[in-house]
Amino acid sequence: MRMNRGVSASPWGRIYLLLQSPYLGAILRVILGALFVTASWDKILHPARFAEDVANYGILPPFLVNLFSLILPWIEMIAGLFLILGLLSQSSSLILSALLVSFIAAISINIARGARIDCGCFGAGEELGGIALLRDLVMLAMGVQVFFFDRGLFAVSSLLRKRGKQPHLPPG
Amino acid sequence: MRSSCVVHVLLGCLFIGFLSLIMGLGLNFLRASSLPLIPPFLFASYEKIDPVQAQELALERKVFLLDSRDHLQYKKAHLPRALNLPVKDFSALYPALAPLLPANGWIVIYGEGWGRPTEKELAYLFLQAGERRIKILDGGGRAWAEKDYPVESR
Repeated sequence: MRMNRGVSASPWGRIYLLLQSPYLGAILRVILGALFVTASWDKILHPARFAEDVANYGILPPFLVNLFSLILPWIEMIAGLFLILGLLSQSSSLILSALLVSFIAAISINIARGARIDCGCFGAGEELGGIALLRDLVMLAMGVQVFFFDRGLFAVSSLLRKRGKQPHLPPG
Repeated sequence: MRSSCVVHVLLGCLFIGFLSLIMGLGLNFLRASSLPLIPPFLFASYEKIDPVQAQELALERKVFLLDSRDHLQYKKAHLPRALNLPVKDFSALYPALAPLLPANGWIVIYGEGWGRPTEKELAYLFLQAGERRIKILDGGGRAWAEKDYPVESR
């Protein structure tokens, strides 16, 4: 706390404090979760189309493409739901951040190749480009913030923890 | 405390991964039109032709060249007199294309030469359709370009 007061004197320090805010963590957690749930929905419904998009990226070896296309949307869906609810928030944000790093790498490689392919990000018909890259970078920043600074405000996990601890509280 | 926290997070990751595996594979198993876990084109074997031979045969017009890539890539550059048949359009375009195929000689299919092996996917579809005179250009468009053989753009 003492250190924080010192930091907050400068405008950069205030921004730093804001970034650490547990309220921001809770908001970003829900937004990131909702983004991934919406992104996964179309892929779960149309696995063949998503597999086509994954194959077009030309990064995974062909024998992994279909397995990846079947499992990845569910990772996005489950980790996204967990983030919204606030269950296993750190694990979920870690997984999603790792996924985002791999997406960023895959998108960058294909932009460098000059490939004109479908993004396969939020459903059909979006061409891969700088916007997708920028969006993933922003989402990665959100994931990192949630991982480090989310304190479980409005989260199911803190409710569970509170309930578990109640019998140990001293009376009164 | 610190290390138990790390273990907790990693176990959570494993749990999410495991749940996704079950859901993804389980739902695919229940689906009427399920996706094959390994694409079937990987199990077939294809005859290959090297670019030097392909170029000689192409000059004598003894081969029929087919570009298996997307239309945008085809428009950028393709082998001389090659026709474009993207993999995803095969079922729509094959009936129109079948009469154009030469009565004899090879049909040489090529792809980018890196990334997605569209040439194999297309060759597999041809084999499925009963067309056996298929060869794959070894190294694809990249090997062709490296030999400085001519390309067209349209």
